[in-house]
Amino acid sequence: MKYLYEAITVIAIIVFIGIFLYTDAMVQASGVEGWGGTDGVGSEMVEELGYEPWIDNSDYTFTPPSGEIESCLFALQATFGGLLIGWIFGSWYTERKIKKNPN
Amino acid sequence: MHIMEGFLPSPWWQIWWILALPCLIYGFYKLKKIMDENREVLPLLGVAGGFIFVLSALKLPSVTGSCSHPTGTALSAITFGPWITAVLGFIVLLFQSLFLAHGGITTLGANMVSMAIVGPFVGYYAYKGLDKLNVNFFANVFIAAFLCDLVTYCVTALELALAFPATAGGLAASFAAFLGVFAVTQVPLAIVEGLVFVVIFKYIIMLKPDLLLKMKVLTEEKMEKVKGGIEE
Repeated sequence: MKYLYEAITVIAIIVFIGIFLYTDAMVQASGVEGWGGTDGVGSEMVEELGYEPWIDNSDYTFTPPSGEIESCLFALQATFGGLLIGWIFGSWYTERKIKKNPN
Repeated sequence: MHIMEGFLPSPWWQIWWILALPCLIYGFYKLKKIMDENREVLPLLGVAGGFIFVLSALKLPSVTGSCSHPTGTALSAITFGPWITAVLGFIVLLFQSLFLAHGGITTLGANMVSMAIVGPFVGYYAYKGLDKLNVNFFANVFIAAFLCDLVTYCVTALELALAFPATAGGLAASFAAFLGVFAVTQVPLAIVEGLVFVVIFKYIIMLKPDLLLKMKVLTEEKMEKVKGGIEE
């Protein structure tokens, strides 16, 4: 089968989304605010022990002032990574095409 | 898996930095060597770095009701080895700690040890070991990528547990508690990440198999077999 691995991956992603929708229904029903990052959950566990972080990013650089700006920066990060990947794969593809059919 | 800025007390953040620095320096040395000897693998290095950038920016919801992100280090670890992956991971983590407030300069050492050093190390040696045992190439890539991802989160849990052992039960109890947060959330993400890397490797083999031969990911003989399998 030509697209076996693609098919498995797509099925896995669909199952993953299904699990998300199911868990989300449970989270919504329980009324607890869910879907925080594990980074934050881990930090909260530490803070519950009475630990105070002794330095913050804003001490030497900046923290994104709002969720919008943060998502903008994340999107830019992904954009440039994606552009690089797409460009290189694109040139490999063209290279192979030219090799196969030099006209 | 980012440990937030300020969440590692002395001496732990210094310890992880001291462990990470030699790996990083050796990585820079290896990187320079590859750049001098094999300039044609540079695009592949760009792709490997690009995947770390993209995948580590994707926060995905998982079964435990919290979100986590893949690491994307598998392509780099399998093709370039763990040392060069340490450099790529360092660049990504530095960017994230300076501009996105994800992790920080003091915790960068610990974050590097988990995402850019130990995870890729385990993935790389798992790949090499299973390759010797003639495991199917794509199954092997899946296992290596799965390990790169999951081990990263286990190491993060260990780093936090070492710095904050529970008063009742000590290290083991807090390690179990942090594992519950990090590793359990990560299992489904690691499975999906493993499958995504299988597809990525399939495309690299279709488009540029000679780069993988050059990096000794596969021998010529095995490459022929894998190619035959794809084209059926």
